[in-house]
Amino acid sequence: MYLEMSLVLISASAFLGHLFGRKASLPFLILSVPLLLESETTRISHFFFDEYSKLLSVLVVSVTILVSITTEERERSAQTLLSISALGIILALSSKDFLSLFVSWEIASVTTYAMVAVGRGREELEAGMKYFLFGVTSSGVMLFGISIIYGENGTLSIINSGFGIGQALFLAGILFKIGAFPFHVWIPDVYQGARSWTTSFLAGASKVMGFGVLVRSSYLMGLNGMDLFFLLSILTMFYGNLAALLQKDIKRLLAYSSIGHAGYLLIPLSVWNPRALTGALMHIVMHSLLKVGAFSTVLIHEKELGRGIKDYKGMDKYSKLSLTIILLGLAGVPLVGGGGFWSKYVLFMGALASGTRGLALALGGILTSAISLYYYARVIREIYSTPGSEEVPGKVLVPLTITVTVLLLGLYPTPLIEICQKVSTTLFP
Amino acid sequence: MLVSILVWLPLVCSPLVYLSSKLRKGLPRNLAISVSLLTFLLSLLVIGSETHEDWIPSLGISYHLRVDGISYVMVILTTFIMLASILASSTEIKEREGEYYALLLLTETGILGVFTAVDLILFYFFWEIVLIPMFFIILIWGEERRRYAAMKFLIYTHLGSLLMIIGFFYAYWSYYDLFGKYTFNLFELWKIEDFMSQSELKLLYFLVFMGFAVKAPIVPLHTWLPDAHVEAPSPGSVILAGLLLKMGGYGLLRILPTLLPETFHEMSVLLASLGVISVFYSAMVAMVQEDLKRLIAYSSISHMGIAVTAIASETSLGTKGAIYMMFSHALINGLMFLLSGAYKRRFHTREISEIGKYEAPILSSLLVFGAFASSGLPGLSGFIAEILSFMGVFNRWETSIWFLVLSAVVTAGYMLHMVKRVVFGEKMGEVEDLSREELLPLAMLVTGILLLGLVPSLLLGPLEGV
Repeated sequence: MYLEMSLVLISASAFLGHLFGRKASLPFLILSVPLLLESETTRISHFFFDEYSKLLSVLVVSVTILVSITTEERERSAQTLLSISALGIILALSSKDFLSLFVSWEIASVTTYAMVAVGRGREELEAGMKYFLFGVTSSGVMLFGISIIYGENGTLSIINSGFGIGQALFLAGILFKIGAFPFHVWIPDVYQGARSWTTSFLAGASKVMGFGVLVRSSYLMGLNGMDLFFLLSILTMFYGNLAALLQKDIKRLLAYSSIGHAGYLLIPLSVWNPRALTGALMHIVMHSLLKVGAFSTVLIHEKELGRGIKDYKGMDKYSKLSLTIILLGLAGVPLVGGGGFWSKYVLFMGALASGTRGLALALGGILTSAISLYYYARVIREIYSTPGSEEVPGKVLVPLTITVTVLLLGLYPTPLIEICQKVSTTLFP
Repeated sequence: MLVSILVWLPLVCSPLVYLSSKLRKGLPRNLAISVSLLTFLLSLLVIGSETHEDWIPSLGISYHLRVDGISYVMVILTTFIMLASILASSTEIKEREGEYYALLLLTETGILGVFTAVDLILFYFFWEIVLIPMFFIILIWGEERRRYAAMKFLIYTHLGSLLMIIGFFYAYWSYYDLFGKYTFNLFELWKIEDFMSQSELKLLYFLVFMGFAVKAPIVPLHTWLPDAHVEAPSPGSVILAGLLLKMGGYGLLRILPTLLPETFHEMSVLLASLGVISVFYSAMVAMVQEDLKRLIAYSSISHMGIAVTAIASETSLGTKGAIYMMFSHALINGLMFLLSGAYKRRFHTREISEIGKYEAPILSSLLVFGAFASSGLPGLSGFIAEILSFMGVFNRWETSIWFLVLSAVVTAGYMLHMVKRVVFGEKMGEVEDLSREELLPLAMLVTGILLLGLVPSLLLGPLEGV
């Protein structure tokens, strides 16, 4: 009951946002969070809403709320697109059937193409075009994979039927969304070209959909623990973090760091154990929060500072502090990096429980993590090279809220760990 | 309970110190002094205190702090050096005082945590906290090449610590496989050693060792140290040399032998040789330094080399000697770094040939005092430290007598060479001598050096039974 109500509220927020702007849509979005939290495991034909979908859905709606606060008041279409996209993501996360999965996946994707392209600038149009072309191709590949699987199995339910060309194409479509190594090419250009609130949403919510669907469907199809994931994971974490070293633009840097984090998120798929999955779930939560925080700080200061890392100085002191903590959280430093530390280390610790392959992944993880601290510290070094301006923009509240949450999770991560543990055991009967 | 208060007090006060900079200039400094004084007094009472709470029960991570003999000595060292370096800061730090003192207090919490943590994840948690405030202290208040030095310091030590935590996880899972229980308790995990193969043990040893060896530092992993120490503001160098290096020493002395007693014994010859190489290599390098502060930085590596060798001897005397060496080295090098800062303020350079041209009686007599203490003059703390360490090493390996004699000679060698050039050269005039503000922290350190030199039981008392 609560689930349906919350879905209705999210749809309503889409329409109201279009008619009356953010002030009308936000309360509905906020109200849907407690309803989602209250909703029980529900099965409506092909949709299967359980603890796993609940955790990720709550995360997606919270990210949507945070992103929507950072948008411009006059951009009404933004509210609509954000809400519809969030709805699509929630549906995709709870689909157990290829058809409903594909439809909700497309709802979530098409709205993000529009979000990227909705601006007037040349850069946005270019990014929108790129994203659209790549996205549509990947959806086509995914659909093609689904049709092959359907031809073989004669059913649209996601079931274990071995690994073949159909499964490979289907996975390729998902891996495109999370930006794993050979499918990452769109990420830097689109993250850089889109307006920063869109980028927040792509990094904070779209990626959750990719990750959630990937874990769920590869679990249902019995593909977890494949060598392929091991290879992809290592390649992605090294590629993302090494390429980030060369970046001169803050949004591009964060985009590559996002690719690197996709590599960490693939770890539980290659070492399939509950501890690693717990870590990955925590990590997707932390990554979403931190990336939204980072991109909204970029958004707030885009006009005055530009985006070159070398010019990244002279922010107000709250932005300085929150960006520092967020970047250290992405690097996984304890206490001052908050919960980012725990998610990363529970993940690596989980990997280590699975023999040599786990050791290789964990060593790769820490090595790239050390590399990542270098490029984050380069930004921090610039931030603190001059005293900041006195003026404090109001929107700084969003990154500050995130920072405080992250810091609290760093001191007392037990609730988050326990929720994620509970959720991950549902995938380990 | 007391130990929890001690560890968290500086952190809790640090936001207050930061905010107080809005009210009045100079207020952060006074607040920081009172907080660190309070921590110092508290630390005197803390022996035997223990706290054990669940933190993340499902992963077997507990909040477990304990102060026994060794920890007690290190805790007192921390609070004492911290007080001295905060007192010494006012002459050098004029800008952004609030942030500076807040960061120093944050560092203090981290270091105190390292010296008292029993749970290895908690240990790592505190271990890594220290890195960030030190990075900012070097980056914001450092000297010309501070940007480079800060980055190098951060990346180097971070990579070492990451290898270390992988080692901890490795031990954790091995323990779980054997005993079916999740724990990070240092005094439980050692049980794994009997059940693991040689190659696994070597890997585990290597992983954990790397974290400590970078911090200590042991040649050839020392290259971050000269840069970081030279570019940091002098109170920062005092903390780097006096406390951060001791974290590495403490790890080698405490964590590694407790976790892997047998393997530690097997590897001890190798560790001792690395220690000896550190002593001689850095003494040679120190000999040719033109920059006073760089010379002192290399002497740090050299002294830590003696401590590492003493730790490797695994004798009771050697262990006591290593702790004594770490304590006394923190005092002596703290003194020397503050003096080099005083020289820099007067001459705007630390080139030994330049600063030797002018007279400043109190300043140079303190420098001579420090150099003698450093080279182990009887009656000063360095002497007891060297004697104990040497006796420990000698008990284990009798042939080492040559190393002992030679290392005493080279240490005295570069220090006296430096003194000769700075103090006894031809003078062209006088400069302003030390002010009262500068003298106070120096006097603290000098008192410490004298006390430990004359009344060794002060330190050896709590270490009884180690």
